[in-house]
Amino acid sequence: MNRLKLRFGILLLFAIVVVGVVAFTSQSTRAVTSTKPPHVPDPSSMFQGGNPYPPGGTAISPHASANNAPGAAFSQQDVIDFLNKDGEPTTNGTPPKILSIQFVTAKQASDLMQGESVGRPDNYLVCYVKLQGPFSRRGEHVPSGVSLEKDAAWEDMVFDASTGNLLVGGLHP
Amino acid sequence: VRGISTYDANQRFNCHYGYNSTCMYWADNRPNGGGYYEHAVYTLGGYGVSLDPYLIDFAVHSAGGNYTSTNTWNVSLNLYANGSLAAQFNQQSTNNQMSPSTITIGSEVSDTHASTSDHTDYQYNQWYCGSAWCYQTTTGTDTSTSPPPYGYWRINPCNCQGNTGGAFTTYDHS
Repeated sequence: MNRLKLRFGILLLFAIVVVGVVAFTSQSTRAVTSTKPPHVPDPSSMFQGGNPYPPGGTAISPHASANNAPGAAFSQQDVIDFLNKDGEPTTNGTPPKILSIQFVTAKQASDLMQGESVGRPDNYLVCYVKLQGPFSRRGEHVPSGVSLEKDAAWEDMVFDASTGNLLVGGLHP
Repeated sequence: VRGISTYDANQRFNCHYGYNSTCMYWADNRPNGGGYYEHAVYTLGGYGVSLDPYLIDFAVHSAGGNYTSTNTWNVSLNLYANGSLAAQFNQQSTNNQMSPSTITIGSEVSDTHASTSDHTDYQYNQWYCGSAWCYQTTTGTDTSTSPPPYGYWRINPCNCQGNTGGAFTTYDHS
């Protein structure tokens, strides 16, 4: 009799667990498939936590090679090849003149850009590239009333030395 | 400035070079001739990718708690896809002195060929009113130039019970 009670108790416990799991699973499914817009947090709280480093834009393909810059996944020649293949030409239709390619820390790259953020820790290795134009400024997102008629004289770009992704690019008068 | 833009395959600031792309970006037009810098944040897909699954919570606010004037700005993004958090990034615009005095709501379309932009709704419009975030209570001033895109207040903001900053809609179906 006691064994029967024990079996019944175990079965009851098992049934409760199963019902609980089913209820939890269906709630979770509803939560995932809900079309209700998520709660929008106070902007001042959003800078806490999360991944602070977006991957950047896919640009130079990283690869292992003895020719790579120390600590980097590509070489100066890879930068030149990328610019020749995928870079935007000058408004004269000629390839841009490369003024410099430097593998530096994010802090050094930021200093080269007058304090512009690279979006990586200060000691992170990046590749800073400076190009001579003239370059079209089409596509710049500036407030209405700002004229984009005059070409930019030069451009700089910063690539993640590990991934080859473009982190930030600038156009200058 | 932050938002969503399309880029030709070889256009600078593309988030996926070699492909026509639709990207999320943020940019700062720096003071004292410091130039224009743009950061690729997220690749949404190619041209024509549907943005319907996404809710984008993109914010810029001062880093030091001083909301009237500062030179460091936190740029944060929460991207929701189908109701779930898909990406979250926090960046900074540094050495960039500004004193914000207005909010501008709307969209812009620039292109060298024909383009369209589906309806975009701007809701829960807020600004920092000294010690807290306040909902927009007036329709403001129309500063649009040479539409499209067209825009209108689908729900007017008001200084009234239940106001949540109105809903401004833009579209370009020309």
